[in-house]
Amino acid sequence: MGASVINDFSKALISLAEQKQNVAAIQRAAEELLPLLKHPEVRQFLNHPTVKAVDKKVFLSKIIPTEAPQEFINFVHLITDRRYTPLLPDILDRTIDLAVKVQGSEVVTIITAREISPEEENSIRMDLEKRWSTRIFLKKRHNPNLIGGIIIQREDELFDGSVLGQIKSLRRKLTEKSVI
Amino acid sequence: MEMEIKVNLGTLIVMVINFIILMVVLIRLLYRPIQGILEQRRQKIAKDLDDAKNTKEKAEQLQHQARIVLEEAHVEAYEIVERSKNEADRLREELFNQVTHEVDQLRRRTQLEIERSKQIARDEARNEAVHLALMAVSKIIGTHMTQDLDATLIRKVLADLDKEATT
Repeated sequence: MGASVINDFSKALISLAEQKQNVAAIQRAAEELLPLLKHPEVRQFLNHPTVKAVDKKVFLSKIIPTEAPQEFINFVHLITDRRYTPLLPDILDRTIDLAVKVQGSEVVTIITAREISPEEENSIRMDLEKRWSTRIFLKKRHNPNLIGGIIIQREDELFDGSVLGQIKSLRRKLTEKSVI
Repeated sequence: MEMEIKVNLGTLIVMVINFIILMVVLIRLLYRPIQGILEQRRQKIAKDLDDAKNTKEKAEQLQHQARIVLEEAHVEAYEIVERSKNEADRLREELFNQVTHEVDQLRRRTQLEIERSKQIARDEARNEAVHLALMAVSKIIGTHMTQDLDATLIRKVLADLDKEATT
C-alpha cells in the first residue's frame, strides 16, 4: 500500500506543478525540505501518534522553505491531514525523481564512503553526463562501510566500484563451492 | 473126515433176503447221509481252499500296491528333499547376494559421506581463512584510505564504467 500511496501523491503533485509550470520550484522546495525531514528528532515528532495534525502542520510551516510555491505548502498540509506524514520523506524523494524526469534529466544515485565535496559532485556529474549524453540529477548517499570508491545506480543498472564491493566479489570467487 | 454141510434152502433164501433188506436199509439210512456229509465236507474244504487262495491273492495284490505306494512315497520324498535343498541353496545365494549388495552400497555411501565431510571441512576452513584474510585487508585498506586515494578510486571507477556495467 505504501508504494502505491507514495506514487499516487508524487504523481499528483508533479501533475499540478506541470499545470502551474513550477516543477523546478517544487523540486527545489522538496530538495530543501527532505534533509530536514530525515533528521531523527524531526522524524520522531512527525511520526508520533499523539502529536496532533495541527501541531505537525504548524511545525512543517516553519521548516518549509519560504520560497516554496503555495501548491507545495498545501500539498504537505494535505499529507499531514491524511495522516501520511511517516511517508512524507519517501513522497518527496519520489517527487524529486519525477520532477527530474519531467524536466528531461535522469536520476542517478551515487553512494560513497565519505561525504564528497561539491566540486567532486560536479566533476562526477559532468563525467556521467558526457559519458551517457544526457542531463543528470545526482542523488548522493553516504555509507562509511564501503571503505572507498563509489556505487552508481542508473535505473536498473548498478555499477559497484566500492572497495567493499570488490572485497565481496573477491570473497565470492575464493569461496566458490566444490562439494562433491 | 469130510464134513458134510447141510444148507437149508429156505433159510438161505431168508438170509439172503435179510441181507438184501439190511443192505438196502444200510444204504438208505447210513451210507447216503454219510455220503452227503462227506460231499458237504469236501465242498467246504474246496471252498475254504478257494477262499484261502483268493485271500492270498488279495494279500499279494495289496502287498504289491503297498510296495508301489512305498516306492512312490520314496520318490516323492526324494523330490521334496531335492526341491527343499535347491530352494535352500537359492535362498542362501539370494541372501548372500543381497547382503553383499547392501554392504557394498553402505560402503560406497560411507565413502561418499566421508569425502563430502572432508570437502565441507576443507571448504569451511578455506572460507574461514578467506573471511579472516579479507577482514584484515578491509581493515588495512580502511586504515590507509585517504581522501586523495578515495578520489583516485572514484575517478578510476568512472573511467572503467563501461567495462564494469552490470544489470
